[in-house]
Amino acid sequence: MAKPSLAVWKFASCDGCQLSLLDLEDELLAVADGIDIAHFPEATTAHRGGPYDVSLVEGSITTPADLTRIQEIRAQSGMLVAIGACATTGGIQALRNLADIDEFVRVVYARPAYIQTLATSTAIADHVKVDLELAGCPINKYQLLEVVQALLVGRKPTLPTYSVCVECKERGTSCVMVADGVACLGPITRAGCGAICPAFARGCYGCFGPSESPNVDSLAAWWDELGVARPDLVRALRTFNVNAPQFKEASTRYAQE
Amino acid sequence: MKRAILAPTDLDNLIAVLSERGFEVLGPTLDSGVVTLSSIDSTADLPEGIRDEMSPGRYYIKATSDGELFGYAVGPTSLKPTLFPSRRQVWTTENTDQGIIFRSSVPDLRPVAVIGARPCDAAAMAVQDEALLGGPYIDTDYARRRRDLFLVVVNCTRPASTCFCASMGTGPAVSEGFDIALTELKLDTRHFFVAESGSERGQEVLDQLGLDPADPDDEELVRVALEVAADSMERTLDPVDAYSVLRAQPEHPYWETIVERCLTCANCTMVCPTCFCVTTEPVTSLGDESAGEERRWDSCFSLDYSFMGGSPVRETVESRYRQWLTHKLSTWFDQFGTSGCVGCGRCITWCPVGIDLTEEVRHLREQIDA
Amino acid sequence: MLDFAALPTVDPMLPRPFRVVRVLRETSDVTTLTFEPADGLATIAFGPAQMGMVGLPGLGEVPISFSSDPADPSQLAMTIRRAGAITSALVDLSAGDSVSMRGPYGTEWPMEAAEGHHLLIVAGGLGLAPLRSAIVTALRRADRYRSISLVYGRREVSEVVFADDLAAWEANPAMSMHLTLDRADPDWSGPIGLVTSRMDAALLDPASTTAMVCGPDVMMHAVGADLTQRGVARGKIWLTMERNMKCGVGLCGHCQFGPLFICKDGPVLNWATAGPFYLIAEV
Repeated sequence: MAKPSLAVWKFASCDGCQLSLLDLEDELLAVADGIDIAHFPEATTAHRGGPYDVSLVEGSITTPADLTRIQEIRAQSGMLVAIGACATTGGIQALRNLADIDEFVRVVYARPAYIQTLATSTAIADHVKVDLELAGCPINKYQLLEVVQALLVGRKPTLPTYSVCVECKERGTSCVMVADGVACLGPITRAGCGAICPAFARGCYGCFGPSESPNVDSLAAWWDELGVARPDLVRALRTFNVNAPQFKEASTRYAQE
Repeated sequence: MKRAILAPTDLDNLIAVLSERGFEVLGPTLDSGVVTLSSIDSTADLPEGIRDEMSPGRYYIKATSDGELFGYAVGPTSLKPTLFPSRRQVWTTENTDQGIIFRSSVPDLRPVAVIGARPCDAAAMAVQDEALLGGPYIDTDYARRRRDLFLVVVNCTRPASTCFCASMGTGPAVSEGFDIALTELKLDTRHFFVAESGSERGQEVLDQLGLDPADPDDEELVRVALEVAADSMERTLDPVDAYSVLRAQPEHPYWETIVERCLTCANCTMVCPTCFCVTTEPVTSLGDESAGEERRWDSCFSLDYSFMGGSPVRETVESRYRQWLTHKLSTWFDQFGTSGCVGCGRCITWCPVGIDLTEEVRHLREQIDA
Repeated sequence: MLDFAALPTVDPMLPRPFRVVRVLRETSDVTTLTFEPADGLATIAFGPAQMGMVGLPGLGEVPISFSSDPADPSQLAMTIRRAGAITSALVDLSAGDSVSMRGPYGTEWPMEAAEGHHLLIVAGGLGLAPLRSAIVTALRRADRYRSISLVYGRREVSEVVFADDLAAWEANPAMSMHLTLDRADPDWSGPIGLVTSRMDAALLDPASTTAMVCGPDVMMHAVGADLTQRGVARGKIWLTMERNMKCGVGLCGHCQFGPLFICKDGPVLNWATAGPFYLIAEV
């Protein structure tokens, strides 16, 4: 059986998720053994044209050129996997969705006329059909490995959608919010990172975006009791997954209060 | 069983004796501001003088200089992670000339002794025993860990405000399932434990320590301390009434009020010492033909838990909360003959938004009666 | 005090290797696989409606009822519909392929308790699979039942499974057949309507009828309510249920339906026991 071909694509992003793939040092040889890496500029200059069995797409759609390029990638990909917060929700750069992009361009660039950009930063799934989404800023390399392994044997990858709390309990981390009064987004954030921050006595920053059924209002009310000011709550919801529908809707409401 | 007096130094001997007998000794320790359960070498590892204060969604530690070694109520860690690990390999495959072979993953386990489990923990273990060992099929991994467990329970003289074991009939004194039970007494002039054995090997270990017998005055002090502890519990739950109230009107509009508060984060089920739901996950590895199966804690709050035919059976928040509470307090009786709740209060303390099941049951009762 | 020495030591979650010996493509989505053990031990002996956890190592397991004749364990078979990743892979297997298998689990159709009664078998779609074992068992001793009727409803003509069996049952004088299609179709000349629309013809004497029903939840709910209304005792209306199931042996908790574990209290339950819970949304 021919090895499935894999292409890795980048849109507006920091490359951190692609690095997660490179970061699979111990496993990378086995990955390369199981799949044919046909296009992965971050790792190799070798390039083969499509079609590809699987495309991993990092980054968000932010320019007119992105709009056409993502269609082309979709057309030559059997399976398209959006990886990381940028590709799944628009990323931190989706903060622009709440602001005036023209003003940004005027302030940042000496010659704004040369800048072609969209007013919004949006997820890949807002533009083309996405077969699988891997959340996180950055993605968890073991989840990426799980996706690759699952694809190779034809199973559904095990990607939790429940809350980060489950991972805290699994690793035996006591609750930072209950025990220390630390504001934490864990109860409304999707698991997948392994609950790293609470293990270091920090609240969860919500890198993996909303969990499967997030109750933002209930958590917000509790943050009030912990003494978190509403602007700080709004800021907490407006980070890597600012454009995720549940975080966006709630933070917009709180900002208007 | 004859009771004996155990001095704090004897407790060090107890730890040493258990180690010599091959046990890994676990006990309460203070870690990241929480009393939890981990390996101990001596009484120096115990959280001396520490108190815990709890309320719905909050947990505080307070240091005192009174020298009590078990002066707190209950931390987030029950016996569950020790006897029923959050994740474990179930089996792996091996490809042979004769074809595929499935092999049970049986880890090398050092027998564990726990010093300082609470009566509610022992009661929860009995509840899990029924669910996991009641048959006809049993959890063989749990059976091994459970068989090898040496359990030293320390009765509760300082219950927290979230505790309600007295009303559930599971504390503050342990009644069964232990090898040794201790009650700590700290008087102005004396600091000691009254010990009793609950098993033959418990008695053997106590005999090995060469303790003085307890006199009737000391036994009376224990009785009074535990009576005061029972009377001091603020929260109550009537398990028999809870059984019927949760059966009465599963579609009462009251359930919808939980939607505003419940995060569906699953914390209650994770800290619950009796929750035993698990899921299985297939495992494969690259560059290796073998496959396997892992098992991990699952929760009725996750959507995947009831997924069938393309969608979850329990999609709404109220249906998931109702499933948890109804199973815990009502259908558990139908299935296993007891309540699934032991009154440890962990689900109240460790709910990030402080949902209190005793209050929920009370409100539901009021609403149904109204 | 627990007697640990008396407890079983073999993990009920440990599967056995089985081999596919025959593949019958029933429809584009449904395949009947016949299995034999690949470990040299005896095959699985099951009762009508009992299920097994069948799987592919690395992909996972699913609960499927055995659809073959319980009297002939050498022909151990399951009829599987393509739904998720695991069932899709199973449907596509070929003779010689390996699977993992555990079982049999769960309760059986009350074949003996139903003797002396009219036996009314009601199947919706692939619900016929767990009923096939009941039908072949009943036909083998047809004289013990006052009558044997099958009401079989489908959504599409092409959805038909066990075509050979259906033809044989049509020809069997001991069997009274009531086939129906949910909605009109040019390729179908028989009755149109839900299975409940065939009860006037199929239900002979409610007071001495035992019904065995399998299909989607909504269909079983409708049949349970309909037969009750027509005078069949709730305790004589039997259903076989499906729920999310990870272990099949009462240890994972997933399959709970009110106080019932579908894996061990079911899958076969009577309407007196299961009916009240059908009325509760999202139970």
